[in-house]
Amino acid sequence: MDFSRRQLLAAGGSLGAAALLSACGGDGAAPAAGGSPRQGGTLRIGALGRPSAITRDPHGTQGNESDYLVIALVYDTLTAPGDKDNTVGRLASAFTPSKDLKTWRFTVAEGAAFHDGTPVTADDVVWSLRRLRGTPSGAARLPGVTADRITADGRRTVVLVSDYANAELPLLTRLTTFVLKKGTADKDIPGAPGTGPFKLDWYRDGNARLLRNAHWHGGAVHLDAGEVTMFQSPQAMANAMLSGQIDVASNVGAVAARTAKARQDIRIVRRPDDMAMPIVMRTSSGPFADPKVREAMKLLVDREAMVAQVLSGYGTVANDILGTGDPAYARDIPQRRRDLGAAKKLLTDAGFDLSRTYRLVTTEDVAGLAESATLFASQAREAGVKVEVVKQESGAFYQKTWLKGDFYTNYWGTNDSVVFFASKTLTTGAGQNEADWSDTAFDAAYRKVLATADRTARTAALRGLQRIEHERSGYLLWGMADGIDLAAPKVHGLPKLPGYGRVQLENVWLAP
Amino acid sequence: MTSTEAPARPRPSRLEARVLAPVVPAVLLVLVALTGPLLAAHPVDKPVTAPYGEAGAGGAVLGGDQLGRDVLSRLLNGGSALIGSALVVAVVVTFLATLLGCFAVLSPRLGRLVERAADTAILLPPVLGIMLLALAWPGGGRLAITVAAVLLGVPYAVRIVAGAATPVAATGFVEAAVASGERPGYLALREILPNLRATVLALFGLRFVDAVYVISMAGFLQLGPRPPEADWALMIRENGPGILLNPWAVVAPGLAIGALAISVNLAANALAPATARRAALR
Repeated sequence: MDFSRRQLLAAGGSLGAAALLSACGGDGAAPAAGGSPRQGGTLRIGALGRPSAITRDPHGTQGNESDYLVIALVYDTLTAPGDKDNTVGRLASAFTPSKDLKTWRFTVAEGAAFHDGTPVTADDVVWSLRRLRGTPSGAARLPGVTADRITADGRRTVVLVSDYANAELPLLTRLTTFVLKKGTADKDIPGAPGTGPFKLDWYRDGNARLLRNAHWHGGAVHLDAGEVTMFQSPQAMANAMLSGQIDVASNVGAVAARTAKARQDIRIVRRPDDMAMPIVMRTSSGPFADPKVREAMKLLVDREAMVAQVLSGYGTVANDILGTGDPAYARDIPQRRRDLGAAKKLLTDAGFDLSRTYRLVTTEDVAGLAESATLFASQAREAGVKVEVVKQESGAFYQKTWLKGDFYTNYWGTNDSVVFFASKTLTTGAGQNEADWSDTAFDAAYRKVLATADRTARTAALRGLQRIEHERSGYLLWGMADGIDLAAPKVHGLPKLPGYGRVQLENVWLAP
Repeated sequence: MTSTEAPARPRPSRLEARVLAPVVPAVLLVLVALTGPLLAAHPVDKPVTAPYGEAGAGGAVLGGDQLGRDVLSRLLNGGSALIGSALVVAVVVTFLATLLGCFAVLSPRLGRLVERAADTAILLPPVLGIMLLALAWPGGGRLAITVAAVLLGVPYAVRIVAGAATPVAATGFVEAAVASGERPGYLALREILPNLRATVLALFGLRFVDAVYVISMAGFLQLGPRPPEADWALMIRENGPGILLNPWAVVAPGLAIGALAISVNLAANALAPATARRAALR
């Protein structure tokens, strides 16, 4: 539920899928359901966060969902997660590649202006992107695009030149490419005007009040104001929701949703394909280096039971391929099912030591993570594999286990696309290659996907890439958790998209 | 001796009633906890109902826990380890404290050392002590917690034993034994210890209760037993988020810990005065 540091780094910079190659105008939002939108009202929304992780810098590392929400409402990104298409324009109204897919031209939306009335120029965008590129994780946020290759061309066009052909570049600009005014000093950042649908009224210790930006370029904003309250635990947030102190509890989890189910006056919003919760097996060394062992692990897990018991059924079974939200996700690859016989045979063939106890390291960072490890351990025991669950505190986990361990649970709240995960976690030498996987055929498939402009051809190439991932990667992805928000009945037009799509509140309106 | 036996007979029966009534719940509870794994209807790690399923659903009398495992079966399985470790802690602490306490009153120098060390150690909050040990010994699990509970329990217990032993050491027969040149070991074990039985028994009861609390606390802080172990304290911690869906998953282990501590304490209280009386009669 919390964004981990890693997730944010990830969000900041990676390639993504199904980018829109053609120009795309407007805000791309779906029309609000449940009657015609009405102007006015204050939306009180709860989001998770910890006081120790508070940040106000749009280009910093947002460890708190509450901070990310506030920042995403005040500042615009160049592009945003979309409904039908994975990437739609936001501050950029159009983005077009050159023929070789190395040069991308982004057009700043007509009428885009900062909260103080100054129009947004290409210079502002260039300055912001360069600032973003200059952060410690800048290379991961805009890979392949160095600061000096971000330039302005006229008043409204920004040119990004990548070191290599990259058909998915616009997807990189979806997440933390928040645009500030050129030359904003670091000390002015917390109150700096943005271009987003809301402007900041006040901010105190993680809580904020935002006022409608009547002149937002993306269309009419219905709410008069939004109040963001930070909660430290999903339970506290759910309780505030149940007692009517907030109108929306963002990303509150399945248990809270079931608790709220009995209440007629609370609506449960499910955003499918929101979070991947894989088990990572180290592929370069250790007991899981043998692909047969990894396949056996993928065969001994009872995916239906995991979804039913760990996610309370609020999720779907997955097929060991990351990026299930991708329109080009290969649904035709046969679903891997539980087969204890085959798993045992593979383990025997691989000479897997069944007398040893294997440590599966987990954290309690998001609801259900530690539970998934516990249930997996008991399922593995049925195949004769002894698994001991080791819970680590979040900080220790990222220091000692993440990227290094043999066997650990993990989660990704940015369920973007197959290519997103491929570039981030699966290609040889990728910065966050959690399983330390290196596969020549996979790398070749990945490069082919990136360099293919034609959509149909790229989907075909993507399928090949997913087959390799399904076959032998270090990820055991048993299921996808739904994102679950709670809302009062008067709240309409809430975002339905997975991942960071949930911060798009400009279409929300309140019934009288 | 034979002449006093007849009139004394009614007394033990009254005594037994007074002693037995508080002891029975403790014995029953411990028995149930120890034989629990045999009584459990479901395996501890197999989901039988929905996560936090309601009581009665899927054959789970007390409903399901966070993964839909049977709360009652886990409750029945979770007691023996807790009672076992608490018993070990209580025995070791009482033993060490008694030994140290008896010798401490005989040697002023050792006495002062023990007193200072104990005073310092008592000031250390148990939570802090346990967390320190958990940091220094990651992966120690239940053993680490047992060791921590022993280390944290001994200083306080030594003070109690030493306090009770001081008047005994000052009695005439000990002084006589000292005068006759008996060695400290003989004095401590033969002359002083037998007179401390009531104190030691009461101490044992209290130490057991204290150990239950310390071990539960460690379990609650997730420093001791690990999932999927069916530890009572761990159950309380793990099932907190679903308390509105199935309160039993939290309430039942909580009640179990409370009942164990209270009943054992009652039993120890009931036993101690009786032996004290007999010791006094002697």
